[in-house]
Amino acid sequence: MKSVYVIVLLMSFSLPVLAQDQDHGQEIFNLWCSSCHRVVPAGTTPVAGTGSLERRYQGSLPAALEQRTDLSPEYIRIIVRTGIKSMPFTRKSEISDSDLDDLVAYLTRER
Amino acid sequence: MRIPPGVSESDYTEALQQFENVVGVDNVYIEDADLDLYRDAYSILWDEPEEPIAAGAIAPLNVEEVQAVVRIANQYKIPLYAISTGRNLGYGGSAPVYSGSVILDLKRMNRVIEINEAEHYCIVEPGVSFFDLYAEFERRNIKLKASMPAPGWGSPIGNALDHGRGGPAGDNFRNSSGMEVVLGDGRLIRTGMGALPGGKTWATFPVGVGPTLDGIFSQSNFGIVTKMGFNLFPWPETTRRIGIATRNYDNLDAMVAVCNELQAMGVGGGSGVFSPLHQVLASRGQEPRSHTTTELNRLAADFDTDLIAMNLAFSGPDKVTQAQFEVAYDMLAAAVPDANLREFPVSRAPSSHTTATDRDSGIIGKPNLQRFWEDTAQYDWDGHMWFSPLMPQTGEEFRRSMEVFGAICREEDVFWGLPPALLYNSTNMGAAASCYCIVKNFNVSKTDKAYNRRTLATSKRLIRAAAENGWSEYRGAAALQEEIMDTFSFNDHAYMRFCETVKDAIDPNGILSAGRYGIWPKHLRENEA
Repeated sequence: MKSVYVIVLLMSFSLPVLAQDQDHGQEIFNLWCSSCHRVVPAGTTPVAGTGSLERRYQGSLPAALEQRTDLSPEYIRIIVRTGIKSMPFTRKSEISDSDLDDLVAYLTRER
Repeated sequence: MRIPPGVSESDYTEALQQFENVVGVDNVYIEDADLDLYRDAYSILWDEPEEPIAAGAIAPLNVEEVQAVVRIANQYKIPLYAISTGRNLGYGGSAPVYSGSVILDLKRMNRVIEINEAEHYCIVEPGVSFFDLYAEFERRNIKLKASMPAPGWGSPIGNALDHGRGGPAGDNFRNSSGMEVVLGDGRLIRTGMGALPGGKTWATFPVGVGPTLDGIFSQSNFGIVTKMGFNLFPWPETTRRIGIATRNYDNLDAMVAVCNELQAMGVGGGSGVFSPLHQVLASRGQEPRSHTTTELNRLAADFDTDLIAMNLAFSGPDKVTQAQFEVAYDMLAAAVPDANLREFPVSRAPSSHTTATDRDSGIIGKPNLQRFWEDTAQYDWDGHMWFSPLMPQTGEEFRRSMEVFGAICREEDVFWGLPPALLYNSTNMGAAASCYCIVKNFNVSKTDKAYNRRTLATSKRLIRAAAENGWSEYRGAAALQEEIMDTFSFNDHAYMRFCETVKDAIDPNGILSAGRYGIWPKHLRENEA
């Protein structure tokens, strides 16, 4: 239960992100995240991340990460490095800390 | 700081300094937070005292750095464990087998060395993933595809060395040609026609001259493969598919026999068996009371669903697939008149990458991670572990295996159901002999250790029962590799003794990937301790 509180707190306090390369962040998302977290048209087979989040949020939040506006940098960093449920963690040889900064910038960009 | 077993702290500190000199300080990892990323996220031993953990990790950029790291490791007797993309979750992921090993993480070696469109091959490094290779096809608008396993983040080299399956080739190792390998003392060799300086058939003629050594580097710890060639396949003009399904278990033998005949005649199509009833049972966690024809036919009737189904696929030029389809359809209709035969819509390859849509992913070989929804996330599992025994490709053997494995799982209260059996070798390479590979995924929990222990114990029983029936897994979870290898016991384990002889000869300090597939270096072998 403690971890749930931590995650909720992290999601609630979005900190501003310094100028990073959002375009590169989008490339990182497309390479490493989109296979499981992309928008899936209704009526087609779910993908692991979007399908799992849809079940978890039951419509209270968008299931596709690129449609979210409430993700905090800290939350994204924790999930990428620790994983959650069947989503595995990602090594620094795969997504470096610098890449992760750019990914955070992309997912938390102003819209 | 974590210290590798058998190494002093001062020696390890010295070695780390030398590793940093080779690969750069940013590519040597010793902090706990970084090393926690070198676990198998789907390990059945998760958080158990027996879970293997890494003492360090080194990520070289090229083969020269790999050689230098291996030489340093020899000097200080530091155990290394090589991974490619480290994404074969449940089969070991990025974790070592021998706890305390230093991971040699080859992910940064991600160059596609060559793609030859005219001769249909590629040569890649171990950090290249199927996603990376596809991206290169897409970038250059090359209408070829690799033999693709389910997880697109896997490495063609890592997958092949583990004898992973892919489509259209089947065993991806048999789809390879030529290797570059760093041996345990840092020497570099090339195999096949790669051993010929300037050889032009590295990736097209796999055997070279003299002994064919490539096989000893698969599922072993005899060297670190740093380059490998693979056949590629042109986008087929069309794919035609036939579905055949039945609610009568007695039809299985005739269905499989026809498919085997089609395979042997070069018509192909495949003969993988799956069960729509299994999906219903899995969603309910309901195990059949037995795997007799009476019980399974009753369940199929009760749930108003097909018991057994097969999908045959024919890919290639339109006129060829049309002929294959007609031959197969007629033979199945004649042999199994009371089964339901279905013709799926014809898939046609797009004209180029730029016009391809999601619907074309299969025919153009676009990698994905779809199986992680189908096998794991949809059940809200934390991970999965496969049990994949091979057996003769007959209905009789499939039925027998369901009885044997189903009975064990009922006793252990672990769900078995009626999992699919896929062809291990190619479905569309003509008359290539094949066999059935049961594809059963078990839930792995990150919190319920008791469940994991029960699954592990059950898996060991399944492995033994398979061996008693003349079946065996073709690869296994890291925690079970030694168990599987132990069943290969002909002539008092002569095969393993030979592997140990090779190991001692080409890796005398025993520093490479100790324990992989039950092969331990001399100083760690219990029977010689």
